[in-house]
Amino acid sequence: MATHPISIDSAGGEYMEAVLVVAWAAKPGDPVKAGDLIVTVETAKAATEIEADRDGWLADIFFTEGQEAPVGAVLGTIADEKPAVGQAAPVATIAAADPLAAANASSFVRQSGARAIASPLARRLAAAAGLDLSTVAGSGPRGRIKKRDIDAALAARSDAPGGILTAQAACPASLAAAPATARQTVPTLLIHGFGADRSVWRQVVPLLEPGIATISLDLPGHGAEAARPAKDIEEIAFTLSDRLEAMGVQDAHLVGHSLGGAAALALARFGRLTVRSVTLFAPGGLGPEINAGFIGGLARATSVQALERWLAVMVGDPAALPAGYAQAALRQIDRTGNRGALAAMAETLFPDGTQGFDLTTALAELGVPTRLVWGKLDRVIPAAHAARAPAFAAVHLLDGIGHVPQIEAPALTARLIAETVRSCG
Amino acid sequence: MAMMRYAEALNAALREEMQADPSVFLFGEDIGRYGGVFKATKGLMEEFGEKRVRDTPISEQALTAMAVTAAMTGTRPVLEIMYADFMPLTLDALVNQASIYNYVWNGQVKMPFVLRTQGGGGAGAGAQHSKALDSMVAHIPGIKVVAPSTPADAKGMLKAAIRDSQPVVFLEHKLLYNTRGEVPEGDVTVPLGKAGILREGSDISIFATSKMVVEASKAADLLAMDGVSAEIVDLRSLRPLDIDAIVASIAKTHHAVVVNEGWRFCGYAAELSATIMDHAFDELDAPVARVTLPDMPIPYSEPLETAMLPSAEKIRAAALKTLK
Repeated sequence: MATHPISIDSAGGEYMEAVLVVAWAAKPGDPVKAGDLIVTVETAKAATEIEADRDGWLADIFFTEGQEAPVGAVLGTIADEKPAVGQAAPVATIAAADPLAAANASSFVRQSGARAIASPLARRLAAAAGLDLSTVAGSGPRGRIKKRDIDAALAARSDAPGGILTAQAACPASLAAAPATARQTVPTLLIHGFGADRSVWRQVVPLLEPGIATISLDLPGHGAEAARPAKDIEEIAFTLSDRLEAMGVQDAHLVGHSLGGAAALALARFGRLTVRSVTLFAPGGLGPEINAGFIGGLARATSVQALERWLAVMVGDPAALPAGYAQAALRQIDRTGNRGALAAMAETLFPDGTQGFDLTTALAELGVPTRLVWGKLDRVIPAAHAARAPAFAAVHLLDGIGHVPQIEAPALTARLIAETVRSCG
Repeated sequence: MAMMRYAEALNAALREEMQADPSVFLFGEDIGRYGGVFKATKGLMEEFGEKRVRDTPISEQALTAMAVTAAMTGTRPVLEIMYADFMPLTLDALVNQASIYNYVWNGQVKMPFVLRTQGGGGAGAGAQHSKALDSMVAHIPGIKVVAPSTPADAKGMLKAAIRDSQPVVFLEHKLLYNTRGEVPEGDVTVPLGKAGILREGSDISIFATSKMVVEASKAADLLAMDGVSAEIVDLRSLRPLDIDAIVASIAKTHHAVVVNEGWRFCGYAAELSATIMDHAFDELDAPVARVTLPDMPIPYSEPLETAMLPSAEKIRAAALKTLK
């Protein structure tokens, strides 16, 4: 009986090492049709629906509901023929007879954590090359990613035309002198907003055209930097600047959303980085108003119900939020343990319900192509702040969009970023 | 250059320093008439007399205090403690006197003495005469600790130690005394605080001390047959440690094995491992591996002792595991 794997590689978020199986839409032995929803998984902060790619019968389930599976793992199989009753593999046994599944069983062990296991050297080389560790298979003990794996991944990348980072992959062997790679293609730095993390860009990045290399960093107090909150916008800029310097990045296109927009402006004002262009989505720092209830609610929410209600404020149309988003966001906050950091940063960045920093001058002093994008239905920072944009900046006001264009309109977001980056040659 | 045994190189260093500086004198158990149990002081009593080469009773604690006071009053004593296993008896003088007087008396006191001793296993000397207690003395700020592995370094570093104004613990190894090597003739010193690159390599760095350098060199030969190019760094100065040399080597190979004949827990290899992570974390492509003595007394039985001691084969295995 021929079987075909159901896997998650294409649906995986850019930064995800693992996905959570939320629900199977069929039981082993059930018939499935090409295009049918077959399993829902959670990636980053969104539920992704995986459809059957052919007609057949669901034969095996290797990862049951509630289990984490590495990106690329075989979640189950579709058989060409109806499996005999009782022949379907028992649920939740990874060590199935199928060699493909067995191979994935070992990768499950090694990748099930939220963090890629990599040597310090491999980590440094990957960061310098803008390579996402979750896309690299580790060949060391316990699946540890070593230098040789990074070398192989970079060599493969240079072989693959159309890859997002093709322009950079010229000389993997010379990575010890890392900064050279960053200079070849000026990278585009994506900076997320308050309460999010770098995965907020995951829908946008795949839509960017080839040749645009992105680096997304977690803000202090967020994501992987949960343990290191910052107290003001200057400290945020300082931290980002330090990390870019450590990565050998000397010039960059800046893209920032909300607090990340303010951080981009502060980073430009800081002057250590050569800024090529600036694209801001609903940036902070252009006026005193901020929805303090939203900020506080986001930082304090401990239940899915509470968070869902605040997240609804964030978007123009609540239907724009992927199913399971609140659940995944809450899980992320619990995992990084940054609730305290968020509350502390909310307090110092937005004292008395006011934006505690003014970056209108920093914006006015930019000498590079600049674009501001605001959803007209933004209920977190009013779109009226866009009126403070200097005359040289392009301003886009989006109908029907709230505070997060990167989630509500990823294709348009990608297009506007690409056009800004391209406009400076 | 002259071909010399390690013990002869020490003897030459002592003789030359005693000839050059009348304030240098030697004392210890059986070093005079008997010439030292490992013959490092052979012939020196005949040449320099009983005042400058003194046989003493077995009393390590008193001897070390004597070295401290003699050094304070303007001489350059060289004390021999016959077995490193009895270093604990010297510790009070080292920890509470030698290492701190320069500090507590605001630099008015110099402490130019050398404490020579030998440790290590492999000679069937049993649990009381086989230990390498390097970390016990290397732990003390204000004391230099060196452990040359070759005859050339034995001579050059002993001369440098005698001329140093700080207390120096000079660690020898009972199985090194009969090793031979080229030794530069004349007044050549080897500065304390510098590591030696015994062999260059590109795949893995093996950092070793004292006789373990010999084992590491044999391991490098074995590894060459495995297709692995190992760099051997001789950490002949345990304190001060040549951190620059360590970092430079790891920046080249990205893999490190540290080898010390002392016990593992709180041992010198643990210090090396932590130092590497402090200074070269981002260069590491694998965790630092430690090859040490297991945390047990050393058995008298030869097969058991052999099984316990760090060896070329164990270093090779650790290197291959690190490179996986």
